[in-house]
Amino acid sequence: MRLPPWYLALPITTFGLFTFLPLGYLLQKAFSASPTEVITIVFHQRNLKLFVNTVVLGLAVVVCTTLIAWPMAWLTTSSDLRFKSVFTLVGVLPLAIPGYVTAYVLLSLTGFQGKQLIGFDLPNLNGFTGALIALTFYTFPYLFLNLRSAMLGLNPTLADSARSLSYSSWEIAWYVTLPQLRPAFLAGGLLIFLHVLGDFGVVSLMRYETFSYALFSQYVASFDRTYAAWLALILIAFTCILLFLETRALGGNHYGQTGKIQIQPITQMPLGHWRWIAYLFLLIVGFTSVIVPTLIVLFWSSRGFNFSVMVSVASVIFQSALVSVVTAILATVVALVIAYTSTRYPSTFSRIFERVSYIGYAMPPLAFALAWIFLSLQRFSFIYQTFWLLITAYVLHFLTESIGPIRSCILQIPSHIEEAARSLGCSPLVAFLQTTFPLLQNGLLVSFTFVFLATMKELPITALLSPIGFDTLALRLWSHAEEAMFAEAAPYALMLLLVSLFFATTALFKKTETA
Amino acid sequence: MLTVQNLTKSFGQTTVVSSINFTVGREEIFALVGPSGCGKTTTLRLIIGFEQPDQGRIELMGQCIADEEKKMPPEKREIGFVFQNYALFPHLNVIENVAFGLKNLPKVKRKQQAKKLLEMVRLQDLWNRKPHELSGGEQQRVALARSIGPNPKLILLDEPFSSLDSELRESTRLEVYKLLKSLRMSAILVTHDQEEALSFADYIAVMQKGRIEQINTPEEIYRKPKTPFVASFLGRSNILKGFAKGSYVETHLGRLDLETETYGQVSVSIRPEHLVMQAPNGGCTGTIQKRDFKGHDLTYEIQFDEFDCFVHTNYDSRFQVGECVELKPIEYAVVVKRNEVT
Repeated sequence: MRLPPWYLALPITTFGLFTFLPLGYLLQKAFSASPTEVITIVFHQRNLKLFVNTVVLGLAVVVCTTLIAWPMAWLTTSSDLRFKSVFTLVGVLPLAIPGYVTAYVLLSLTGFQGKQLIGFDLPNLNGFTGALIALTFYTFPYLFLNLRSAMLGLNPTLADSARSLSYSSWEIAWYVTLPQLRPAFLAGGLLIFLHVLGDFGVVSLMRYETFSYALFSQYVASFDRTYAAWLALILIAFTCILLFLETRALGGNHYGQTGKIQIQPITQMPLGHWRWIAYLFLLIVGFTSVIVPTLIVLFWSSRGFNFSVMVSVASVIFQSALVSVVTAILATVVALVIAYTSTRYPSTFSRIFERVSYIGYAMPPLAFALAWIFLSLQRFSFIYQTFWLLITAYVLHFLTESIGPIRSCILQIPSHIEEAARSLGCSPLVAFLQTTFPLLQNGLLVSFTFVFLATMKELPITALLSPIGFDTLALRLWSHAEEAMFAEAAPYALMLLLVSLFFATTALFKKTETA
Repeated sequence: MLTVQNLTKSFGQTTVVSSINFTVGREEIFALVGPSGCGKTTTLRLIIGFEQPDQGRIELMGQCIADEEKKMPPEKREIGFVFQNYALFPHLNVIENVAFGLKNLPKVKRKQQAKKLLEMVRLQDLWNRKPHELSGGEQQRVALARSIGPNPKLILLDEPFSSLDSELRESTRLEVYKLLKSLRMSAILVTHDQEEALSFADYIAVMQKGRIEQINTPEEIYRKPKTPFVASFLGRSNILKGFAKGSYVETHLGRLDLETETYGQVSVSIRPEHLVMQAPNGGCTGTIQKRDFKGHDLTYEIQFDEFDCFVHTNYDSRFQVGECVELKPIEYAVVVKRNEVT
């Protein structure tokens, strides 16, 4: 077990501390109230209502996403459907459309203004229904991707084996295939539930009271932030329980192939006449999740278009982009350090810090942002309401996912090229920069692009931590939509969509290039 | 038991199985041997029904299970299949894996029967383990127990021993052989290992490029190969060109006796253990190039004018590299190819 050198360990430890320290202050704030106050706050009837609301929404979204993602994954891997790559794109693209954009679109279609657009009265879509629709369409790609890769990795000889033991196709699907897909269902389902838990944009626009929404209103509405602190703690506890349950459910199951691995193509099940229903289903999903929102946004944008609007949009874009670029650079650098350390110096130390960065990701963003507020108010008041606080929170939140692509890149580069450089007299840093670093460009680029995009679209942390007067596309869109000023919100939505879709498609093109 | 007639299968432009015919009798162990890509695994998959034949007919116990129009699905054929990678279900433990195959029994009886099957392969103590916790040989025995559970009419084994290390291979082979014979089960084994086929099977079919070159018992095939390929594939052989003159053939080694009367240009096969070295005595001589000591015997490589010849001898042969020797056959040579006289 090699411990990493100080110049690597130090930044990592610093960032680890940055993740945990705020939680300490959150706890401090929460327990600053007297015990009786605490009991009143925690065991309030309202909390039960919030709990039920959150759980019901979470479960409903998981069910609905399963209804969409499972057939899609099956159709694009194991059937004889044509245009599979196009439909796979349909299953992934909705990730580029943030939930709050869909929520905005749904809201704009209902009520008075919506009637002008489509000519008839849609039933009121806010509250639970609207939240369900928006969140389902935004998060189903997570389950889709998980199921898809699980299905592609299924061992086809298992189904053949069951067939030779007289099992029919339906029995095989139930007794053999489904158990193999369990990890994917659990991982995808967990991710989706965590998203619902941490979501702020959709539920706030839809006025559906979950813990996150209550946290924000509490923070904004009152001076006493103790209740907000408790809500944050409850959210975090909820997250931890979910993560724990998932580890228990997945633990001890080894789903990889035993015996010599046989690479056999997956038998494609012929669809026959069902094929038309399948095409219809996929087209409807693609249409409603991607095309309809884009069209509606375009429509509203055309309504409110004039020069002054363009100017303000341009300035907001500039601010968004600037902050996003800085965040992306910082996140990529930190991710590089962590990824490099954990692959070249694997040890308990690096494993711990990988877990730590996962916490920054899994934790509900509002709770995390609130914790930072308490920390900065108490100790570092000079960073309160500054960009640096905002950027730090962003970086910690997106760190885990930016580590991934870099890590896979490093794993493919043998460590001896650096060692060779050092044996020829280069210092560690020079050796790294001249040998490994050039080969990492692809991974670094993917990481940078991801963080840039994610920061542009981010809402909850921005809402809580951004300095007064600072605006991002997401924030502007949200505040206008909140006040039902749909036409004013449209240009920002349009810009967000353009940026998002642009990056999504270029990323996918790059992937198919290198594949 | 099983009859295969004119079976043909192509994938795209390549014909992988080309009009093959064979039968497997009751309680018989039949081996399909050949190099990689010769079509043996495809033949097996055609028999179980994972692939459909383009032409031909397969009959099991008098009932047609596949021909050009009708194809019985695999789950109805009552044929067992042991995969090369064992295909054990990773989410079930050993006894559940074996019980999985017993769906025709009521649920209460399944565990009991599974236990009996595990006893047959001597794995009853590992009933609780998961597949990834077993060694290769143990996994293979579980796969076998699972396949014989539903009492199939025929069992197919696709390179069952190829993933085991060589020491384990022999003992596992013997166990599986004894088990199949004690259950009086017919089996078809596919392998690229000729030694395995020779020792395991009652009948062997040698395949090359989609065709069967010869079917016979191991001993007969070894003694009387019909083609140069069969001669060189099963065991090692010396293939010589020569001119046959009735009861003997003139080759570069000298005169070799033939069992059947033949005339004309031929290629013959003579096994290395059927040749004896002696001091030059006026006949064709060759020079010893190599002397491979293998412990229990020796293999010599002897160079004649235009070809190399291999000879197996006892461990106590004294001939050394560089010496000139003459070879004397102690068995008949076998005609493997008649070359047309142009």
